[in-house]
Amino acid sequence: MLEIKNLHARVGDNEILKGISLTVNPGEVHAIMGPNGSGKSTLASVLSGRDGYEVTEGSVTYLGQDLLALDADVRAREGVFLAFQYPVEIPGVNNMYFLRAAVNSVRKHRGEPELDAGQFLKTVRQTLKLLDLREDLLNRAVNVGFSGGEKKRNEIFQLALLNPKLAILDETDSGLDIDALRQVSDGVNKLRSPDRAFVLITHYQRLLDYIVPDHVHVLSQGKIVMSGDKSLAKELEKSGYAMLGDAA
Amino acid sequence: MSIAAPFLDSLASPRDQTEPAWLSRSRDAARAHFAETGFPTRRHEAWRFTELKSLTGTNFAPAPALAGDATVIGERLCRLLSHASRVVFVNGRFDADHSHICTLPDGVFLGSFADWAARNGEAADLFQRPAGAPDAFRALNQGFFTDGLALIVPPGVTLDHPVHVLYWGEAADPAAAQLKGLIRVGAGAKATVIETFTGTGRTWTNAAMSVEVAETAHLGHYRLQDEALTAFHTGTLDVTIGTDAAYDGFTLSLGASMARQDINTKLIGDRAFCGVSGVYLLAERQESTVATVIEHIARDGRTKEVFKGCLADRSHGVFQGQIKVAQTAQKTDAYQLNKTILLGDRAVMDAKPELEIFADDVKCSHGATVGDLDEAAEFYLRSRGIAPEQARAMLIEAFVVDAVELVGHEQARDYLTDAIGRWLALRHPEK
Amino acid sequence: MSAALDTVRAVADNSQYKYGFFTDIESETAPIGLNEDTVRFISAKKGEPGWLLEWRLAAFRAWLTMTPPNWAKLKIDPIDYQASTYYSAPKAKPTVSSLDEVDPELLKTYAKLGIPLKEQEMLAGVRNIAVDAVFDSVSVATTFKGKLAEEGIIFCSMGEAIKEHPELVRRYLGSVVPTTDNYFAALNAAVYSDGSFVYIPKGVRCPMELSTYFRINAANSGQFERTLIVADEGSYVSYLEGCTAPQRDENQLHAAVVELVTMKDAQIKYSTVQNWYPGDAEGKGGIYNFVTKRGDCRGANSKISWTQVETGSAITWKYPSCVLTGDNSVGEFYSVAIVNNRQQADTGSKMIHIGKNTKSTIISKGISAGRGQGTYRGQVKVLPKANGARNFTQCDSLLIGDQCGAHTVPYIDVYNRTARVEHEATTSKVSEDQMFYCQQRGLSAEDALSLIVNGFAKEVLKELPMEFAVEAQKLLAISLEGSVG
Repeated sequence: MLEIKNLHARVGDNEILKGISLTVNPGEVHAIMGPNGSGKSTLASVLSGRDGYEVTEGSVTYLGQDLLALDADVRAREGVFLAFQYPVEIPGVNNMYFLRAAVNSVRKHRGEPELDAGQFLKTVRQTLKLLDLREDLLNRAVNVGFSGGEKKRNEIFQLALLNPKLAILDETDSGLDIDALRQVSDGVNKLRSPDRAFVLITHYQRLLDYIVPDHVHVLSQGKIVMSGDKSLAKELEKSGYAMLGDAA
Repeated sequence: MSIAAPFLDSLASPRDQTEPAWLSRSRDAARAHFAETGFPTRRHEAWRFTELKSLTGTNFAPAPALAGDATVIGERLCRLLSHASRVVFVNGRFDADHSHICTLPDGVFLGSFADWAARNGEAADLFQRPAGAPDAFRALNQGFFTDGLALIVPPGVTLDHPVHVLYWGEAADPAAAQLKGLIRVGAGAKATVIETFTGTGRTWTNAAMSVEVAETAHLGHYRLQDEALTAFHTGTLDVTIGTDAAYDGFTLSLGASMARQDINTKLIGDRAFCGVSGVYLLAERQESTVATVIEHIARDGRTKEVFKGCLADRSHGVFQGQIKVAQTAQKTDAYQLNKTILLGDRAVMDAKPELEIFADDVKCSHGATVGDLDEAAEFYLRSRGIAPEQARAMLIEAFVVDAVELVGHEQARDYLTDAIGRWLALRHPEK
Repeated sequence: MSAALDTVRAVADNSQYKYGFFTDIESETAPIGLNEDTVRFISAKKGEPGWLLEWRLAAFRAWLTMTPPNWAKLKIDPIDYQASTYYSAPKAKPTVSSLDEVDPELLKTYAKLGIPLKEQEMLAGVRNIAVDAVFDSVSVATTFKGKLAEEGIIFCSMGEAIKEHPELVRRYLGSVVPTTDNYFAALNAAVYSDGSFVYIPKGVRCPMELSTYFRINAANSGQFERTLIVADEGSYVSYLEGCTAPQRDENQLHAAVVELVTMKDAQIKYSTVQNWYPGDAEGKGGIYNFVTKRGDCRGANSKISWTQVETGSAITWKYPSCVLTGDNSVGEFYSVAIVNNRQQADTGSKMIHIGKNTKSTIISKGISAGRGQGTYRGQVKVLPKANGARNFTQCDSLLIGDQCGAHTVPYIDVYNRTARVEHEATTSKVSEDQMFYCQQRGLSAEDALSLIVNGFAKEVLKELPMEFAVEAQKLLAISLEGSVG
């Protein structure tokens, strides 16, 4: 599904990704761990097409096409979803209105008929129920005045609605208390399916207690320095990222 | 004919024959400019709230040379900070007897502007005035200045102790002192200057100060205007701030029957910081204007401007603050706040905070409020047994103190806080 | 390159100004030029009483001694007042007793503008709006007059009001905006040709929205209409105003005056969607929209609320204001002003607090794109007797592209200790984070921008009557076309 080959990227004069290679197949959950500044969030940004990052070398193939050649909105419509570490507040824009605009632009791209307000509301209610979320979330402006937990839940809710093929979760666990973390993780687990892949970006191992990954990769100084199964995360928790000094 | 001509006549005094020719030419040009344009009126946007009649209707003579009341000056000097170099001017003239200049690093000049100018050849660029607009106060200063402060700090030099400048004015009959000053802080240099304007009688101080903060330099510049309530005070401050340099400025205005501070700063180098803040506390029938123009010309500049004031009795406060962001000044971050509390039933405040923005990648905001003291807070304090006067004084102090906290130099901050404390003790601001 | 940054290079052409067509209709036009004879000509055409002609002439003489205001942040090419005509009316009977007599060309024009004048057409739809249609200098049709008359409401053209209700008009005309108020108001008083008049009697809540639709059609002509709305004690009315003009290369002057009066406990809600022709991408042509709008909350507890969405005109100069005379009266101003290409707008509000416990709110949202220059200019004045006065002002500016400008110039003058006046303003560019967030969810750059801008303007748009709000949202999107790459 996703094939990253020798990816180098920089911000300004600063090279942050220094040759990352990674293959993600449908149905798999990959966790990418690493200390602050290792390039985790940069990887998420590059994959989703955020401005300000320059790819200097390497390639990213997604479902057989060159992902890097697509605009951010086209990537989204093609099924790449980024759950933001810091979901953005958009004052004055009703969450429901925003979601319908997003869902319909994705549907239109896929050649599916757009949903009218009634149909959309039905879909929304089903999704809310699935994720055990409250409806008042919908009537507020996008992320405005949301608590940290609400913002993250709103991201997962959007993930469910937009039905992506590849979901990248950027530090979705950061700033969550244990109850919120459990709720968000339950949501993600419900959305796991054989044709959808997840890339979880996280600093801490604890998220992986709730969402069990198939593969764990450790990122350090812009490179993947270790890969393994879920036990690697446990090991890291014990010894800390300091051990990377030797490995890297 | 305007009132310009009689003004020029009465301010004229015999020419100093030793003055360099370029300076005489510059004086003539300035007098001619003033003769032509006269004083601004309320039709000029920058002067629409400032009442100048009392000033322009007074017949000022040049301030006489005198020794000054040694006792009073001595008493004022006691309040000055320890370990500071002191520079004293009496009626616009350098007073060597009262001044005390510490040992300074090599290359530093501290003392009389007239001295400095005499030693340093032509410095006509220090007298540049904006084209077009009437510019009465700069022009009068240029035409008639006697002396003022010069502080030249060469590149890389740090002055460990602040420089404290005391301007004393004294005159029974209306008399004008024209002070011309220059502070030049070289690349990477660091200095702190505190200026105090005070005096007795019917003086008019018209000060014009040029400040240049070169790249990576830092200047703390704190001013206390504490003239007699029978005095007039007009001041023009022109500041340029270079790349990675910081200017930390603060003005506390307490005195004068009519006062106006014009502060113009230009951020000419990238990543410059400009702090222009102040407090005004007015009573009786005092008139006071703060007019600032902050121009962002280079990128990544930062401005913080906070002016707060309290107006008692029948006083009139004016704040006209302009922040301009040129198209070249992308990534500017500018903040401006003006808050005024009206303590007197007949006090009046005019505020005109202004943003003029031609760059798109900026973060600029301003706010202005005018209102009464917080009655709920006052009641709360009184319900805890605090006397009404004391409660009000506490609330006023709390209101202005967060502006004073912007002063980056601790001794200077204490000095200004003391002055505010004295004002509060004297005024017992009542409802 | 980000969509938000990569702006303005492709400046929009004006193909999207869909109201730029011209109606070929025979007109009766005053000779070109402006002098006392022009004023007499207009007055005679309208069959006005002597006092009104004298009133106009006094205004004209005053105007001759005045100079155009120059304090606004505007670049205005000099206007040759002698080069245009001050009266242009469709030749068919200017006043008609029934819509069946209206020239079918005119009906077609309004239908094309989306303003059906046939009452049955409107009833068939959901609209419940009475319309006074002003075409160049005269009102061509007013709908629902009969139904309104049942409630005692007067809604007609100014020309008709002067004939039918001279006492009412004489009592209020010029009482809020005096003839010598400013240069453009004086010019308007001298040469105004028509406009709408509304009177809501005591205790009546107007059962439908009233609306005037202004259309400049003729070339080389200005439009100088005058609107007067009086809400008597305890009454309520919501009034809408819309405007369009054909696409022409020369600038045309629109110098209107609107006066509102509310008596005790009365309320007027006045909404404008201004979409005059803005000129082309290079700044050629377009309407000079120099308008004086002021309301007087004359009675206690009365309220005047201005809402404006300004998307059109080459230059906008207007400051809808409230004089809060009555105790406890309330003034509100909600504004969205958008400038793109070479448009300029200098707009804002004045709130003059005279009565006790008067309250005012100003919410201004400015959007600058292309090479547009937008200025908020406003004044809040609290006079000595206005104990307990309150004002809150919030001005936000959004910048799209690095060639535009946004300026904020508030004046705050407080003469009363017990007043509380608060002003807040921010200026920033469209957030790249917001743009990216929307795009990451699949929205195109243009849709993302339109969504964010509508969100930015939401506080104001929600003040508009429902139908206008939808219209306004679309207009905002259209006005921004071409500002993202």
